[in-house]
Amino acid sequence: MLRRREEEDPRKTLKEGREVTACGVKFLQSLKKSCNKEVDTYASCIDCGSSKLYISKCRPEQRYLDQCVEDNLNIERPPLGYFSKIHVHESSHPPPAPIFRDYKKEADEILHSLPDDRKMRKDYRRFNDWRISAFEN
Amino acid sequence: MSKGPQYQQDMPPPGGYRKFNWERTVLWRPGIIIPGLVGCAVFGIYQAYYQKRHRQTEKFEDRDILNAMEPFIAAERDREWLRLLKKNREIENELMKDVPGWKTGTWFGEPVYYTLGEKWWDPAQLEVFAHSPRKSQMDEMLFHHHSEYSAPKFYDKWIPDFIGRYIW
Repeated sequence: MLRRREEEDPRKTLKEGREVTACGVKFLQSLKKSCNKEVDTYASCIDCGSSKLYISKCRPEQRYLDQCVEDNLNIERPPLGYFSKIHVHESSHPPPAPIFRDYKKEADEILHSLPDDRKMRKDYRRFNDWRISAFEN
Repeated sequence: MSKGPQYQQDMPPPGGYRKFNWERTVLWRPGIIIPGLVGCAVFGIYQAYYQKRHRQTEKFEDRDILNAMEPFIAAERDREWLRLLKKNREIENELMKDVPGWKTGTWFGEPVYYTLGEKWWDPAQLEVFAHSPRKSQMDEMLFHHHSEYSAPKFYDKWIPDFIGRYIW
């Protein structure tokens, strides 16, 4: 889902985004149903332990929570560094095809279709790529 | 070499000085101070190493958690962003419905960016805040996180408003 977003625009990934959030919400709801007490102690430990929300201060509570989650939901905690490694996913969509536009052709088409006595705009200027100007970049 | 002028020099007594009586110092003698200093230095080196490792692990874990959260946060952010842009679009529709030749999102029918075609491009800050009050724009630009206590302090009631709104 993230990969898709890197390549295209956000409007196309709205559906996947909704699925992602729904999945997250479902997980949190299942947590609340099964491990509420451990989650509360862990969260308040992190919240009230320091202003910088250090996690290393709350290792015992974390162990309790992991044990509870393993027992109830059968989800193992990913080892430290799992999300910092590179994971390659196979996706069901093909990668988006790059679009190459021929600007000269398009410009020529438009120019040819104009009437012969067309008037140039007063503020037109040919694009001089090589020109350095003090006020424009 | 001829002998120079004769001087009376202050030399140690014949037989040398007597040995220093370390017994009169309770504890401090070379055999204790030097190992003590070396031990402190070694301990300090170890401590620095382990503390750095702990700090690094802490930061690594925080970054790890951020990486794991990224899809959720990005999805929510995208939804909110598109909602705001849609609100802007509706306001523009509402405002310009009587102007002839106007298509929203373009300049009288001409697209704003020529080379973009069908691609998505985020609008500029000016366009995004075009229909918002100035306060929201300044809030967005001047916002920053505080690492310390960031609620009002005792002197905030004496700072005039035209300065105070830019400080916190």
